[in-house]
Amino acid sequence: MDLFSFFLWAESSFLGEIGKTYGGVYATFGQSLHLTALAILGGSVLVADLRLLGVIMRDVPSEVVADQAHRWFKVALVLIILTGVFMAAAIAQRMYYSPFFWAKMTALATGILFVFAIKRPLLKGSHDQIAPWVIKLTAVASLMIWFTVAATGRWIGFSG
Amino acid sequence: MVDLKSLSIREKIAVISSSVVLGAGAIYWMFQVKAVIELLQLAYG
Amino acid sequence: MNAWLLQVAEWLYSTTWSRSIEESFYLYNWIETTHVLTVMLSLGMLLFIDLRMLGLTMNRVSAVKIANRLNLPMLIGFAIMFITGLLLFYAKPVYTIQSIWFRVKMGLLLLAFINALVFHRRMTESGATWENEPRAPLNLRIGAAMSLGLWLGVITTGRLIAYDWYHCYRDLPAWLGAVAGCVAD
Repeated sequence: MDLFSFFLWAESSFLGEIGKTYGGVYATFGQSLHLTALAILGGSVLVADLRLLGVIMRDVPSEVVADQAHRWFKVALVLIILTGVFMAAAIAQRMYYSPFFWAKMTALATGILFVFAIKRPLLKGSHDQIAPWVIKLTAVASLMIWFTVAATGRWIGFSG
Repeated sequence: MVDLKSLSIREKIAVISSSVVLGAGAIYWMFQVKAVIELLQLAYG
Repeated sequence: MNAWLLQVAEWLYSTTWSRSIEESFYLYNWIETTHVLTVMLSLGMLLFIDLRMLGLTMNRVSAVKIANRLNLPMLIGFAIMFITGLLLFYAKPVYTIQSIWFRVKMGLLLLAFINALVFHRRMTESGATWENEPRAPLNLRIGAAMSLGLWLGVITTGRLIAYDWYHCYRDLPAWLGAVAGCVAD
């Protein structure tokens, strides 16, 4: 099955039909829950990265902050992806043709890869062993990625 | 200032990927800003 | 009351700047995007404070310290939310003032604000005795849980403002029309 056929199938699937037919369900369980997950995800990213940049909570060990933020990041990620899939299914064809959707997906994939393959392995142990500028560079990159995901995501709504 | 030789593998990977991400992001956003400016010039002259 | 609110809204609608924002190519969308994205800052910080009170994060760090450290970025976030929110209202005053969801959102915001004030006062008074416990005392946990619930409501009703299912031009039952602020012509 090619990509376009998959999107067509998604829109006609049970999930897609529910989202298309029941606007209230779409708006609350899709969009609003997605925004709630955004608050959690964005919050966890900001708490961790702002700490790593030495902007907030300087008297709390960065290992603790990064660790705890990561736990909630994972919760938020699951919720945001589930709600995202639900929303996208209902308007799958439109998403297929939306450049902002693809920009967001690219950024999202990059973000997930960055968190689990690069940032987390780097920050799992003690932070004293890591060069401070490396930590800060990583934190800035993280902020850039997730800001891009959020901004392109919002812009999907304004286009097409 | 920047001592690249003494970094561990993880640090090196982090530096390279972060730089790529920031570079790609900068390019993407520059294009977006350019597109916005063009559209605004078209709309408002 | 509704008639008066509508009059004020209509007056705001007629001002040049209101028209400029709503009719501009990007400005309304940028303000709205900022409003939505800043949720990550304001509610993100608040979330971690509430989670700490409930013992669900960083519970080996002093709860009072976390609240005090995250307070400033949170308030900066809320300041941006407030300003962008005001501008959004100003750009579409009639639509918004007659949105049932907007009215409920304002009610929830007020409750959340009061809850926060009460919480903060109680925390400051008693904090020294329990700040290093993994969880805050029961009444403050309730306050934290209420905070989470109220803000979930704010997010949801905020999102629903864009939907006009219950707007005045629809066929609404009388009580709903009254609550939504509909004024008979």
